[in-house]
Amino acid sequence: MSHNRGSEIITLQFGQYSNFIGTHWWNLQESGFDYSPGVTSDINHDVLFREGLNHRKEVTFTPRMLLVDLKGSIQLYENELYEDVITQADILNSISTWSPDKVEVVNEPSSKTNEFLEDLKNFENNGDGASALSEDVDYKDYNLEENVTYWSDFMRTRYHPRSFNVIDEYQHGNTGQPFDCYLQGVEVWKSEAMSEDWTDKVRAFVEECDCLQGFQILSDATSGFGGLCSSSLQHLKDEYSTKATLVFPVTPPRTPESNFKLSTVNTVLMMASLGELADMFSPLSLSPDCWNQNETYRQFPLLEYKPSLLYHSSAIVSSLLDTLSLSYRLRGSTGLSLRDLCSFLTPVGRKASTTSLSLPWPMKHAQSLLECLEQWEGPLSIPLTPYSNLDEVAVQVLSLRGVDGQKMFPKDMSNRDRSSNPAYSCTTVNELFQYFLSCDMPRTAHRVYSSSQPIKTVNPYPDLFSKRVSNHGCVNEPLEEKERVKQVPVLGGLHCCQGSGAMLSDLHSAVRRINIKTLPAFLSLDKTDFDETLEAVISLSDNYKDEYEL
Amino acid sequence: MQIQHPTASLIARASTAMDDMTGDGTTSTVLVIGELLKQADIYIAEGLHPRVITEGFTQARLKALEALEELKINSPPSREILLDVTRTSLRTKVEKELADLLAEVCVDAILAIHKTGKELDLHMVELMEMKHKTSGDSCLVKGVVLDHGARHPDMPKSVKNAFILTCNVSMEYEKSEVNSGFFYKTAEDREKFVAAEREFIEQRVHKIIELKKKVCDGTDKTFVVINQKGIDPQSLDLFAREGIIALRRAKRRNMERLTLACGGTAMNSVEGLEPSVLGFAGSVYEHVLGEEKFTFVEECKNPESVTILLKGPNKHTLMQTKDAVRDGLRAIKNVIDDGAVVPGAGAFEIAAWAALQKYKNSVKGKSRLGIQAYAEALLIIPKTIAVNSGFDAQDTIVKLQEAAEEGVTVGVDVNSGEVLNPATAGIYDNLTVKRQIINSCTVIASNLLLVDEVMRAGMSSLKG
Repeated sequence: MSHNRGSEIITLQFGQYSNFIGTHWWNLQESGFDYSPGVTSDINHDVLFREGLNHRKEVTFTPRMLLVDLKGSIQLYENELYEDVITQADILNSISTWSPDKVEVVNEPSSKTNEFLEDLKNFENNGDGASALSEDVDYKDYNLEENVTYWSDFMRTRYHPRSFNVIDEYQHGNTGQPFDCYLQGVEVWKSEAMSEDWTDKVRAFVEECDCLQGFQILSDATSGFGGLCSSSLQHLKDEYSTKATLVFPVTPPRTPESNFKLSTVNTVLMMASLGELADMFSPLSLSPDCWNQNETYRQFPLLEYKPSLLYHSSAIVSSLLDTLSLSYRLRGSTGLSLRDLCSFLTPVGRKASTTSLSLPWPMKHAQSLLECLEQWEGPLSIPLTPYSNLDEVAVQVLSLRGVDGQKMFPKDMSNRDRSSNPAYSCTTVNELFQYFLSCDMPRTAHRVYSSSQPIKTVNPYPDLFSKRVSNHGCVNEPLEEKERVKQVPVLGGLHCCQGSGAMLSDLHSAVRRINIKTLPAFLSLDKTDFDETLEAVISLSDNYKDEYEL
Repeated sequence: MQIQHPTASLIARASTAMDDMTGDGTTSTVLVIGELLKQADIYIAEGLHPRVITEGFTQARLKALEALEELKINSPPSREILLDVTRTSLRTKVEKELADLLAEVCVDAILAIHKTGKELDLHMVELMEMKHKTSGDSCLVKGVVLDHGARHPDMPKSVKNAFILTCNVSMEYEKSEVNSGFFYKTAEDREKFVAAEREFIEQRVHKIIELKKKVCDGTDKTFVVINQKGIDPQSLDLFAREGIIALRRAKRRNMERLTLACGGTAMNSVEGLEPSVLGFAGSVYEHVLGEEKFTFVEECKNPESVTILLKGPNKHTLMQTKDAVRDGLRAIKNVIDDGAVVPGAGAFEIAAWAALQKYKNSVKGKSRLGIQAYAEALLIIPKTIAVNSGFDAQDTIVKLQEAAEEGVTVGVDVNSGEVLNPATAGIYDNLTVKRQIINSCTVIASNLLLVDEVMRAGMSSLKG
């Protein structure tokens, strides 16, 4: 029994975009698994994954995760992990009302799968002998940009059957009766499928944990899922009061059909309830101004991505999550627990925090981390939280991955130089980075976590890097030939800064400009209740004012 | 189900309301409303005003209810009657063998928890699904089945004569909720702090162990702890050393049930633990299916709560069985609440038809036509029974009508297509279901008849 046992976290995913992000995230984690014997990864995968046993007595390793999506949004292929293979004879025997010779079995035409999933299936069935196929599955160009419609189209990690939850009341892509109002989500929570079955599934996951740290939640903020998420958060608070909850409300890129007024009102309702219920929340969106009529998108110097493509943008968000979650996933006693992380980043009730990402962390091939930092100009990373910037950061937690301990210092350095620079007394990447930050941002409290494991950008992760990124994730100068980026170093951060307060007050004024009476979906919403909600958001943003000394 | 047409959705809602109220008669509702409209349409096509027909419907409804009162058989809820009613209800939903089995299971479950003079609470019958064997292996457990097991390898898998402690006390070490930190100088200091915090949890565990020693030492009794909160590995270890089975994270509603099934009181703290708060069960054992575990708490002395264990090879079968059991339980509850039953197999509809035929002649004016239409519409039930069993509807109806005019209670024999006496065949329906059908179908059909035009307006035009 390792001393790390018993620090489990359960992940909850609500809504289509959240599930896109989640799917990428679990894929990223699985691609990071190292199967070579004798090697212990510095990331403790048991925090987010669970070990199980299927009916064939095979050991399984599946995420501790519950996802919720609408009917018709999942193209489910048979779950070989837990289901038994059903033969024609089994079907005939299971029908007791008629004798087998009178029954004709008509098979539903098997749903069409894409090439990637086909190859993956072949690879899994062949087991060890298919190393050629493994290369294929990892790096072949499947043109997933065009072939992905549902998140299940690029699902590489297998989930436990308990993880799937479908809302039967609403259909995905149904414009006649869309699931686009916060109140609808609150209503759906009252159905038996959620308030009975779903809560029971959560309990079953919790029961398995030796000492649960808490819940991390991804939820669409702009649709009815916001309401569903808030209601379930209330349940978690009642039932598991001592557990921490970290929520990432996500805003998908806008589609032509979506109504931006409705989305914004949904968002504000969700934020208000998160301010009350969550231990910390951090909105995520690739658009810096998603509450405006005209959307723009964040630009990353080394990425070429299509913002309108869920498959692309969710991959970027998932790399951020995979990196910043390092703080509670690292092996050993260095990490912060989820509760400690939340309380560290939310001084004086500043529950909203800002996230930022640098993908890839731009280091040149022959460059050391020290040189890279010494030559750095501008902000370290780009915020992924709408309206937010990284001004006046009070507290921050940064996670750097993919930088090896051997690449800390330049190799050709004489001893005299070493003694002159105090940075050389650092022995780990953590310490060096921490030292740099304390010089660069002396007024900020820092925590730095690092892992030598880079993010493995194998299929189905999209190849969205610019030509300047080499196969191993270094920045090339000059350009050299490359096939596909296989791994990249990443920096991710969570910050408690003025920007988060600005975001909340901006959201508040955006909603103020909307006449809620023109939104029929909110007819049943009481005016005074709504005003109170807005008040709650404003008072949350007041927590960020300067006069409160930390 | 998503229904676009407003008329259809109104009928569907009536059917759902029917299910919510009585748990049965959904198909009958749809059939009868449809037939009422169809019969009315014949007269409306001839130029009769819908208002006149609805007047006839209203009069016919009262008469039909009278006929129902005459036909009902008052009886105390004996096991035989309950079995007959449940069987009748279930055989329309699942195949015969399973229906008969489930009927017995349901009746025994209700009889176990029913106390005369007390309102019957169906929540006291828990349904537990187990993906195992076939639906024919479903059975009644006079106790509680929990869908989790002990999390420590050294705990016994099966014990006899067990004291049950149900509690809601956290037995896992976690940091206190307020923002706090340890301030320490050395590594030993830190260890000491951690140990001190742990100590706090351990005290709780030791209090329970003390109680166990008090009641079990020197006897053949054993001890089981069922906790709603978590229990961490260290605490489990302490329990295992004492031979105690400890289960963590029990379902909230099972906590209530456990005390009803085994006796005792659920404890919210370890203060005031004494033998009187303990429940008792003759046998507690664990059943493992793959990664799922089930714990059976059985042989309770006087259970006020029981569990129906549903089995089936796949999700679909389980769902079907579960729905059937729910309907069966509702049917039994209805009998107990009504204190009466009605002969089934279409007997009531035929009797009501005969009564309405006589009544019609005493009514003056055009509303007589409404009554006629109503009487004809009711016949849809025996007609459907006949057609579904593969017989000619007219043949059967004529035979039934002949018998009914002589004042005999008859129904359709699905095996021969002939008339039969429902009472001897043991076919009974719920009184309240029939009453609800008469009432709600009349109202819905009348309302629909009085509507001139349906216009569709919606929020969709306001969007944007």
